[in-house]
Amino acid sequence: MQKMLDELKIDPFQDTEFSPGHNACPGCGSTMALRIVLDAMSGTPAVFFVPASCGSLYFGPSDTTPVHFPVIHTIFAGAFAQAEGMGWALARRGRPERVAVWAGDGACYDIGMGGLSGIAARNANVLVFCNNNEGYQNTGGHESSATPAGSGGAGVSISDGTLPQPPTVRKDLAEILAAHRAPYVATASAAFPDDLSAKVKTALSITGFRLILLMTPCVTWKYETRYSVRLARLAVETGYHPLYEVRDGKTWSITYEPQRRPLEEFTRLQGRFKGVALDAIRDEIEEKWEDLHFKASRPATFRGATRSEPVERNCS
Amino acid sequence: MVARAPVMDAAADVRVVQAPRLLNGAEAMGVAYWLAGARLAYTFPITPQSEVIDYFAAHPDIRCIQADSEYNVISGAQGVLWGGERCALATASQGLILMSEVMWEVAGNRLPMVMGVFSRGLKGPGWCLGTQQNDALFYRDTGWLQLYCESAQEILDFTLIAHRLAERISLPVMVVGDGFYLSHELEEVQVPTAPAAREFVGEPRRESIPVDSPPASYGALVPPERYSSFYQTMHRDMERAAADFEDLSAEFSRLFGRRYALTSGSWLEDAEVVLVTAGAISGTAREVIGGLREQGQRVGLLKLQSFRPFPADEAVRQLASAGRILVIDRNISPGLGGIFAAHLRAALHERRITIPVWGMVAGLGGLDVTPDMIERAIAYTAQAQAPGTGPLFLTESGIG
Repeated sequence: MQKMLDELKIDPFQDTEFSPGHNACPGCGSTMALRIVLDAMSGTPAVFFVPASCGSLYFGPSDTTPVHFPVIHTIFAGAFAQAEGMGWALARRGRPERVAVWAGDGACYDIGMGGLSGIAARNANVLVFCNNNEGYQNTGGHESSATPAGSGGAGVSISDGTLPQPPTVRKDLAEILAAHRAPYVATASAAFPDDLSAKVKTALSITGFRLILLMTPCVTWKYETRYSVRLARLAVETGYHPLYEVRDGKTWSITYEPQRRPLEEFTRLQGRFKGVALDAIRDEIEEKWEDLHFKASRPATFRGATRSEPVERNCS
Repeated sequence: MVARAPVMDAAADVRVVQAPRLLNGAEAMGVAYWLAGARLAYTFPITPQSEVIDYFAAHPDIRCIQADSEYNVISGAQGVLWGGERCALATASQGLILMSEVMWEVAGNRLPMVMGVFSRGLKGPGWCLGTQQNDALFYRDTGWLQLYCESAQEILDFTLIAHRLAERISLPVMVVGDGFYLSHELEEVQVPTAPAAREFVGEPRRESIPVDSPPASYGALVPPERYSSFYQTMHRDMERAAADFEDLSAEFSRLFGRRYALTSGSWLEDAEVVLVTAGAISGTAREVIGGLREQGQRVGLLKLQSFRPFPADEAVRQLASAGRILVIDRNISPGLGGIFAAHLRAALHERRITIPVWGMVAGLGGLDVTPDMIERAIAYTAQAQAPGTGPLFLTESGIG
């Protein structure tokens, strides 16, 4: 037990950048990741933009805040460009604050995707954290394009055989942003805190657009809350959520080679997968890992300066 | 349209503070933002505003960020404002409406944004390129101020005044000009020199911004009591904005010699019919009424320079001795009629003034409002028995 606590760096008496007393659900996988992220950012002045999401609530209602930097709450799709704009204004003033967005899959995959793609295409100096709990969980668990087929509430399409089938794969946001040639795109998990912390620090050493995509278990997935950490770990160990980095859309590195445990070990703990056929998801995982291994084995071949090299922080 | 002779302030500064140039409204807008110290611009092309992008970009010290949509133009600009800098942005029609969610947020956040709009009809039944005021008027209830321009000169001057006004009352301001008429037509514009403009607009960098304050959350969940009192406060601040505009206009006038007010009346003293207008139509109206006056007809003109705050007190005071009032609206609220007319009727009624008001809707979709149409509208109003309910439609072929 102590070994696990040490591994996960959980110490109830430790100082943390994310103060207890916030109003996230018990067992929230998102705030678990947020705590690790903020501790990795400790000492870095920052300003966070938080679009409509669970974060709109657990960063506290008006007049309260559990963190030590300004948090600007925004409408759903607008956080990305707002962060970009503030970044330019702060740069003009020679300010050191790093600008970040803490968004969910709803904002990143769907309603805000145009804006996210826009700032990635413009290589805005913004670090986006997507805490992906695979659906619009704050409002009741309806599916987003990050939701695995069949597991989301409502919105399930019925096909009569003549029309196109509903999608069976989750949108692959990391690859989409890698295709934008973003300086740095990484996937991470709170169950692998050292990997996550390292990725946060790497992201902070780079300017330009960066995204860290977190798989964050959510109690809306219908599981006993004590399983949050286990589910975060199983998401990775089953291969369902790979841990990797892509730089400049050209170099893939797998940062953890999972055990590839049976998918059922992950899904059977969650009510949302009850009665859901898993074959499509298993296929998706197989294909993803084949693709990832291939990309990770390719030599980096590119000309010109890499945008992911650390550069001077003082932008004027 | 006619470049209007400015009301000269006798105490106007005698230094060289401005020089005449031949500009259209788009260039006047671009120059005004630069003079106001905006060094960041968020852009997206849309007719009839696209050229404004080029006028921002013509200044090498303005960093222009072309966003992926107008939603992200105003989002980006809001971010710039959060960072305490001024931001140049302009749009029209579809782009303006696409911004709608963020418009509420900017006003709610009490950010002093200034945005240029060249009004254009919305799609709607089909694409419409011509001017109509509905795109801007749509934002009636957001807390944004709206100033309506008659000329490229007013676009330039109001953009400068708007920056001071917005920062004084912490509410955003829209500067509106009729698309094509004001965006594309050339006129002689007095362009302030950079030092004179800087003297007026002041330091383009706000001191109190989130990163300078103790860590706090901005715009988080508010309970009903707070939300409710917030809008009451916004309402009171909007009411006071008229006095602030007066103040700043006086200051502007001492430097540049042009004196503005939220309403501008001509030939009102003994007018039997007063025509009330907003926007570019005002210039045509002035030509027509000047001519009618020369023929001995007792007609007056009241130009409204703002929609929010609606200059109710000033307008009603200036209309007090009018025999009849005719409002020409270049907009329509289906089922109601012209929007300026509806506001004026309410203002008169609130103050128990029973002067009859005719409301006519004209120039939708950019249709020309000709001097002849205006003359016929005035004649109609002078001879009519009493105004009916609902609007009349004024076109080149008649009134009905």
